[in-house]
Amino acid sequence: MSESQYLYMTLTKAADLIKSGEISPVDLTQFSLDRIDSIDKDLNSFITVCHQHAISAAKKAEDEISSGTYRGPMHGIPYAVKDIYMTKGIKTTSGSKVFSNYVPDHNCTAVDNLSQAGGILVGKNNCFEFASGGDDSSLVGPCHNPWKWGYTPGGSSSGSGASVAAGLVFGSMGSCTGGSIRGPASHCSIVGLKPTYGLVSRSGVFPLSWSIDHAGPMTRTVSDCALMLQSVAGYDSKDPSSVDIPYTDYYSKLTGKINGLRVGVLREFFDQMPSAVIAPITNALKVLEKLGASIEEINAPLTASYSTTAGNLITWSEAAQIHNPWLQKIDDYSVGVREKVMVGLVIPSDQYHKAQQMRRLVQQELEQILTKVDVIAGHVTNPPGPLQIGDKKGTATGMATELSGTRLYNLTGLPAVSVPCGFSEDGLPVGFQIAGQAFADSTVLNVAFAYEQATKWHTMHPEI
Amino acid sequence: MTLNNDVVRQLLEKAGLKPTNDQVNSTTSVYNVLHEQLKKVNDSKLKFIEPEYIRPARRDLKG
Repeated sequence: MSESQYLYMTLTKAADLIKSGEISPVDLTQFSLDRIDSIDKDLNSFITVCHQHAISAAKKAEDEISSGTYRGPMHGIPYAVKDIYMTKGIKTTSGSKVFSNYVPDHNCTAVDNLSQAGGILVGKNNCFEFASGGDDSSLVGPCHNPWKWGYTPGGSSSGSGASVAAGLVFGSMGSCTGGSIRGPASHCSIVGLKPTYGLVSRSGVFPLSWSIDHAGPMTRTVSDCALMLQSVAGYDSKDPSSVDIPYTDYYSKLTGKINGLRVGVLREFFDQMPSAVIAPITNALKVLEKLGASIEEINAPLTASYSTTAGNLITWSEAAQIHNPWLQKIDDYSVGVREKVMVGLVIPSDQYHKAQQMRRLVQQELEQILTKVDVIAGHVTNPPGPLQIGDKKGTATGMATELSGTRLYNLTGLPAVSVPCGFSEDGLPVGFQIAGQAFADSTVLNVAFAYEQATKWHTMHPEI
Repeated sequence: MTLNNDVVRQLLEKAGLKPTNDQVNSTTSVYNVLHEQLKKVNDSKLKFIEPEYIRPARRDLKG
């Protein structure tokens, strides 16, 4: 098989071909490293590339598979993680000057799980500093959007989105406090899942907000996403939010059948949808209808009124305490992160707890809605498409007033996925968001899968 | 309560920082945006509402 055939191959297909011995993990990893070397100098989606580590792991995988020990679909698959995931012996900067030379002595649980599954870590993805959304500042400079140079891929998991979309890796782990997985997935025309809170361990992932942070996979297709999720989901005693639920085979639950499914659309969010994405989102809903789902408009007044305020108050209060040990280095922080930490330092405790009460009301409202419908669908982010690099709309002031299409699911811990649904009038990718009940991640993925298989968007790739 | 620049500066200095005037202005401005939003919340709705922290971790509410 020629190396060019590896380009944009799905993780699912690569896994099948590795299992059958038709392709070699070493060749696949070398292809990934070569593509990174040839493109990423300009794209800037990686902070660290682990050539030696990756080749060594790929040789080990190849030996194991050829001797009959096949670990599963991630075995021999090149992947990356956002550079807030701790990696033993590999620099982990969190995209910040403050940690520019930090080398952890341990792996985060997600990397341990992926290594156990035989995955090949090829590098650490660029990200907005400390996973703080909105501001594209990073230790190594901003990452470009492979669909449109000079535009950000969205954040904070910017490099994860760009590297997967550009075919440098088969998947990457991102993190999400307000939309940092689904945003870049939307802007890069890939799939990004924010799993249910507690499903994927965040132990060893540098936090932004303990009670809202999530870790999740970003891939080119839904089935790839299910396979990667399977390798990282599971109870972890090192993460206090982790939940011990039975193992789920997310991949086998992708039937693509959604006949009779009830889909809710939150009216307040739909009404504020940016005009540039109305057509793709409306068309996506029509596709679900054609597949046998029913669409119902639903009011969510408390969610619309409270989620922005509560989300910001909680995130910035918790971030201030998280960053307390490094406050003496605050001048080394980017403006955007420093601004949020400083606001967090002056928020009184009663306001933090009030925000948590508001969050509870949002949770109750969405729980009630999800007794009437199976999933909630809509757009992913405001603004509609990637901002130009250096645009500061995502500063604290901007974020304090924006009704985010993603944050409600971070506040409530509900699973939500972004799946490509076309392009806006200016040619930039648009994501379609599907959310569901807690721990109904397989339902959410299956609806995304049904939509994906009925459309062609996942077969389109940037010309890079 | 609304905060002014003097109070914000004191709070930031108490946290060990030496903020510039721009940083104080920006912090005060963003904080007051949040405060104005909170003022619009009907407190009676929050009576007897137990705050939400990390709910899915509770065993009785797991999936």
